[in-house]
Amino acid sequence: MNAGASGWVRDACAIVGIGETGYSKSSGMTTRALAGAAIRRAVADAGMRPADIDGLLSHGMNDSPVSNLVAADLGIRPNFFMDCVGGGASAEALVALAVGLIVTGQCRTVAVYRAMNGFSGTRTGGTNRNAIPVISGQDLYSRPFGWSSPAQTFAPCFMRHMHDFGTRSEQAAMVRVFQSEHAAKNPKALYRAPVTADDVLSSRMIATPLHLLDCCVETDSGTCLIITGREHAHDCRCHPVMIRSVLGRVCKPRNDLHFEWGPITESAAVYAKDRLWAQAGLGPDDVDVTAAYDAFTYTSLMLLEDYGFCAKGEGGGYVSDGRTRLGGSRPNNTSGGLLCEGYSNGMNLIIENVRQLRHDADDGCPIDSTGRRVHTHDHSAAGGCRQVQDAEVAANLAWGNPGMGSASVLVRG
Amino acid sequence: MADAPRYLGYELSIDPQDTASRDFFRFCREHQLHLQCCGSCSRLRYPPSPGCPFCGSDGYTWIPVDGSGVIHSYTEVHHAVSAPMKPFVPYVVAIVELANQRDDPAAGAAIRIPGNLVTADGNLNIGDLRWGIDSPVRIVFSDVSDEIAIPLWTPLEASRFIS
Ligand SMILES: [Zn+2]
Repeated sequence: MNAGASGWVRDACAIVGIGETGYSKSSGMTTRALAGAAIRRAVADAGMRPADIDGLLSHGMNDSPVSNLVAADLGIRPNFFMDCVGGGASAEALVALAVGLIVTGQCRTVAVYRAMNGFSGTRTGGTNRNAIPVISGQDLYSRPFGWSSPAQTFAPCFMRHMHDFGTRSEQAAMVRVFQSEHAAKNPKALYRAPVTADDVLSSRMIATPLHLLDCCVETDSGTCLIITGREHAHDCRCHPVMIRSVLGRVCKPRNDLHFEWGPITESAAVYAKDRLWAQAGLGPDDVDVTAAYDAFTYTSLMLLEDYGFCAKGEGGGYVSDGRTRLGGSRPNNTSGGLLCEGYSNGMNLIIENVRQLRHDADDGCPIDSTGRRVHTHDHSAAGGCRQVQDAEVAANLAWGNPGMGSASVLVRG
Repeated sequence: MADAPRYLGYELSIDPQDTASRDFFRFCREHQLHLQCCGSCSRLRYPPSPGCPFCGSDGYTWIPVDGSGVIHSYTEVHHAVSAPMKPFVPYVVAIVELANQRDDPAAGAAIRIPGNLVTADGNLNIGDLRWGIDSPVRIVFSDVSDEIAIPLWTPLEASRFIS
């Protein structure tokens, strides 16, 4: 165990269980039932029983069940539970809290979950069930302009990026194109049909420069991670994935109007970057697979720049030249990501990278007599292999908004 | 009690305890752009807030600011998620940069105020107006009530149409 920057302890904890309910437009379940289902699956995946969980952490945007109720549904009594407000970039922050709870001895094993009816219930854009009828508080400075959804409020950053760096819509579209290829190898993905750049560019405009297919799906889902200390990690059912570095949440100096601070073509990741890599003792060149938060094609592009996977302004080339597709030098969002697999505020991006580091992507590859999936690493066919060969290091680069983010580096245990 | 102030079908509500927002929108109603000026570091800030994001001080005064700037960036919204905006698509939200505090306190920083791009008389349908990133704009106000007007932006060379 090596100490990283500022006392951070590398690999003190591991992700030992993952659980998903599936990604749909109509779960037919309450978010409370989704949470319970996801946690039960993750516990079983870890080879544990619910009673082994003594910490529960969740996040939501007033659309998610509180963990004391969920604990009751699982028949357990946690030593620590906390439900925080937040969407994107919350998952890594809760992983960071779980590490703190475990290394300080407050909990032994923590379940981090997110349950949302993100399509059939509360939609992220603020429409549907939780639409805000009255504009007050800080919203007085944005919502009267018809400026409220993530697409609408993030878009000016992308427009300026195009202006300053010559980034083209055709380049951003390739994020969707490659991820649609990845989703074709993922039976769980909501959208599995490959799309072309023309499909993206000819889809209807939402808010310039974002076409419909530049935007992620909205789905109902329950998702869960089980985290425990390294001393227990190898007792679990699956190969452990160590938390090498985690950081969250980090914000720009003025998150409430991040447009005022620094170039708007940069995200809060620029404040997280140095610490993330110093804690990890690794850099972008060491990473085999990334999950750069793809609420939009452009968020992935900006995050990959801001964490140093390419120079600032070169994200358009990085995401479109083939490096980020399966078979490329550093695949990104191998599940199809938020654009194609489903939207769970990024929990599913962590789950995918855990699978990659276990060398157990749940694709269509054949399963042998011992029940083990034998990966072919042939990424050419639509239903082919999704496993990145010999993946040892994964980076999750999360985005809450342009002014707020989180990140983690995970390594195969 | 008077009817709640409405703007484009939105109901607006300023918390009576939020004196900074109350004052900001009252100045807008007088068709003046006023910003908070920190009593400690003298920097301007927007939107109104109880503490200075640059130095942490809570003392401030309101000072009048020239309501002109340039379009730093924008988005043209084609999909309105809220019902009151649906009749106006496509409409433009611009991020307007003022000259007052450029690159202060750090490179790339500036006072940047989001708002709709409108015609000189406040129409969200800007038709053939010529504008883009770096275009000069000036502030205009849309009156909502005796206490509130909404700040909006119009291109300075509004008389020029794309041929
Ligand atoms: Zn100050």
